[in-house]
Formats: sequence, C-alpha cells, structure tokens
Amino acid sequence: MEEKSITHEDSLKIIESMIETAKKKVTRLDSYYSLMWGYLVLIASLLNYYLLTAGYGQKASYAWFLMFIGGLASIWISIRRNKERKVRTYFDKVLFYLWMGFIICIFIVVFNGKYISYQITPLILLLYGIALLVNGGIFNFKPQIIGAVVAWIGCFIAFRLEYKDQLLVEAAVVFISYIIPGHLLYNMAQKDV
Amino acid sequence: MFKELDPIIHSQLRLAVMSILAGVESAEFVYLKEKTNATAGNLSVQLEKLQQAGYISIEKTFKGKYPLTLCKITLAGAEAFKKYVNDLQSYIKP
Repeated sequence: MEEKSITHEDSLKIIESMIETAKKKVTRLDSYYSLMWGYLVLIASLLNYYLLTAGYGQKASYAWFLMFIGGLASIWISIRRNKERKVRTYFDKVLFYLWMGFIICIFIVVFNGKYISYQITPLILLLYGIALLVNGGIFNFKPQIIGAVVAWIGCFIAFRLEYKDQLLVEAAVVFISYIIPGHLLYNMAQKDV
Repeated sequence: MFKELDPIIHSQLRLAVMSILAGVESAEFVYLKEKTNATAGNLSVQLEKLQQAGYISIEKTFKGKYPLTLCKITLAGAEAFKKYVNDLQSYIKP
C-alpha cells in the first residue's frame, strides 16, 4: 500500500477488509488439544476401570499418571504455537485463561477429594461443561456446545453412581465431547497458523 | 458541520494497521506486512508515525535468534480509532 489520499468510502473498505483478515482462524493446532486430551482421558478412565475390576484397589488410580504426559505435550504444543503464531487475538487470550482456570479447578477438586466424598468425576464433568461451552461459543462450533450439554448430563448421571461406574460415564463423555469434535475440528481447520 | 478526520489515521496504510490492531491483542511486524501488502520500509515509517502519536506501542524483542517487533494498540489509539470511525460515519450518513 502506498501513501495516497483516500476517500471516505476507501476508509470504510480498508477497515472492513482488515478487521475480516484479523479474525480468529481455527487451525489444526487447536484440534490437537481436543484430540490428545480426549484420547488420554478415554484411555485413563478405561484403564482405571479395568484395574479396579482386576482387583488392584487404590493402585488403579495410577492410570491417571497419563495426565502428566498430556501436560508435557500441551506445553510442547503451546511452545510450537507461539513460535508459529504472528498475531494474538483476544480469543487466544480468553481461551488461555479459561483452560488455565479449568486446570487449576481440577487440581483443587482432586486434592480435596476426601472432603467431597471423592465425588471427583462428576465435578470434573461439571467443569468440562463450562470450558467446552465457552470454547465452542467462541469458535461458533456446535459440536463442542453439544459436548458441553453431554458433559452436564454425564455429571447428573455420575453423581448417582459409584466411583467405578463413574469412570465409564467419563469415558463416554470425553468420546462425545472431545474426541468427535476434535476430529471434526481437525478436518475443517486450515493448515496455516 | 463535518468533523475533520484524524490525519494520523487517515492514510491508507496507517488506517489498515490501526484496523488490524484494533481487533487483536498484538501483531508481529511480519503479520502486518503480510496483511497490508506494504513494503517493510514504508510500514516501518508509518508504524513510527503511529507510535509517535501515542496510538500504538512497539516492542522489540527476540524470538529465538530472530528479532521480533510486536505492535499493540494503546488506549489512546483505541479511542482515536473509535473517534475516527464515528467521524467517518457522519460523512457517510449525514
């Protein structure tokens, strides 16, 4: 663009086209979080369920150490993202704080399990619901909004079940709310960042 | 009576830059260059003008080994942009 005088109509066109160009675009990296956490939580829930059935008792919950792999991989994805990203939208900022808050809430719930009769799974499903609703709302991505409703239905059901059976509900919820939207997001996302 | 449009914003490239920065938290120099199709030299000069007016802040850091120029709109810049758009509307819809 060269320096030249512009008309008022030109001004409007410039504003319109530039604002359009800077909108948040869904990229494949966005789908990686959904897919990775979806599959990890699915495997951990089913593994925990299997180990409980096989009589491992409390040791069965070691299945959740898989979450540390997820944590490390998330850090790696976010570093890669920051390297490739040339613009930071307010959506990026909102999503960062949303998921950060989500993780902190999960830690609080897990570490205070004994004070809430170990009703950890339903509370995590409740939190999933909020995070998915906001995430889906920002992207205008219906599968995640439906996923939020599914998470809350799962929460309702899980409160009425024993710990072992809650794991099956959690597995079903992550499959519907994370894995399916994750694959859809991957397919519709643009390759560029 | 028409209001005079802010001359600092009322130029093709500076307006383009302000429009982008008004909608994002921050943008790199290369991103602005890519989106506006401007030359690096011209963009630098226009960014400098916007910075001197206090409309944008420019932060120079490094991304690994490479220099990184990060631009953000300031509060004054956001206000000026809002006023520019309002003034523009008075021309279009008198």
